[in-house]
Amino acid sequence: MAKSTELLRGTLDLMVLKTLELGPRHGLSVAERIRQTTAGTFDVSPGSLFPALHRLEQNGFIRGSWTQSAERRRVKAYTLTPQGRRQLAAEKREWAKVALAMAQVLES
Amino acid sequence: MRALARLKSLWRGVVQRSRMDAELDEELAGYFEELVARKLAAGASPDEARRAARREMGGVQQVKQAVRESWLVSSWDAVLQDVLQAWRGLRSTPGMSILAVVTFALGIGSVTAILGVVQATLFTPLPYRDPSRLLLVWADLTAAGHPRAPLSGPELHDLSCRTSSFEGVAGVWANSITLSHHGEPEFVRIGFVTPSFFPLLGVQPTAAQHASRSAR
Repeated sequence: MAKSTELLRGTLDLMVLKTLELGPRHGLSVAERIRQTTAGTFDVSPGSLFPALHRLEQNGFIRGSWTQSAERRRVKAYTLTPQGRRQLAAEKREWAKVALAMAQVLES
Repeated sequence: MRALARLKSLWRGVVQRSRMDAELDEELAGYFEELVARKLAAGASPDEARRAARREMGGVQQVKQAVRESWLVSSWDAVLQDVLQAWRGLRSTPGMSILAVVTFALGIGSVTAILGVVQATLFTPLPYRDPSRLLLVWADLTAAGHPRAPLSGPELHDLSCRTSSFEGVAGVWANSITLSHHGEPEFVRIGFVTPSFFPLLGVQPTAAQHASRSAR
């Protein structure tokens, strides 16, 4: 995500919310999950990931709490809040609209 | 709920900045260690693992800076959004808003008026020359039941001729009378003053001519 960060900022927030939908994850786990599901298209660097996580936390969409990783290291794991769940639903609808519109423009 | 989260983050941003910084350090260190662990699990040597992890992580300082900026931006966004939301709230209930504005106006107005009077009577110096050097001199007639009685004419004369404590001495006998000339009679405050009165205060009488000592 080195390029077009401005354009993709909202996209990254949406991807992070979606990644946390099924359960809490720490930073690296979120980045790995995004890389896996997009087959490497989005390789989220810490420089984009952490601002996004903290932005979402400040908005109350996710909540960070200190837990232990599988290797018993102290990591900060993020959980989707009920408000974040609503935000995810809203952004998904919005994104579907945009994607459809783009497709219509490109195929016309 | 959302406003509460914002308020909390704003509070944290202002008050708990050093703690947030420390937590961020720890979070990034944890990320790094996890990254190293992944490389080790993939079969890299400890040295290689750390080097690769460092390369992938990029500049830690830049990451921290970016996160700090996101704290600031969301704090200001929050304030801006709250202001906008407040404005929309005011617009959507105009009756209530007008009532609130009128209440504030009356409250502020009355407080301002009271403060104006207090300011004029208590805090503003007397409009005379050297007000801090003006003294009132009374006769002590406590025995007769008047701890503060006006001086008699001779006493005043003695005071001005036989003492050197004062730069000048003037007398004023305040009273009130009912003035009836044309139309409505009027209750007015008056004062008989000695010729030295106006020069001592450093003011000019608005009307009438200045009585001179010889006119006494």
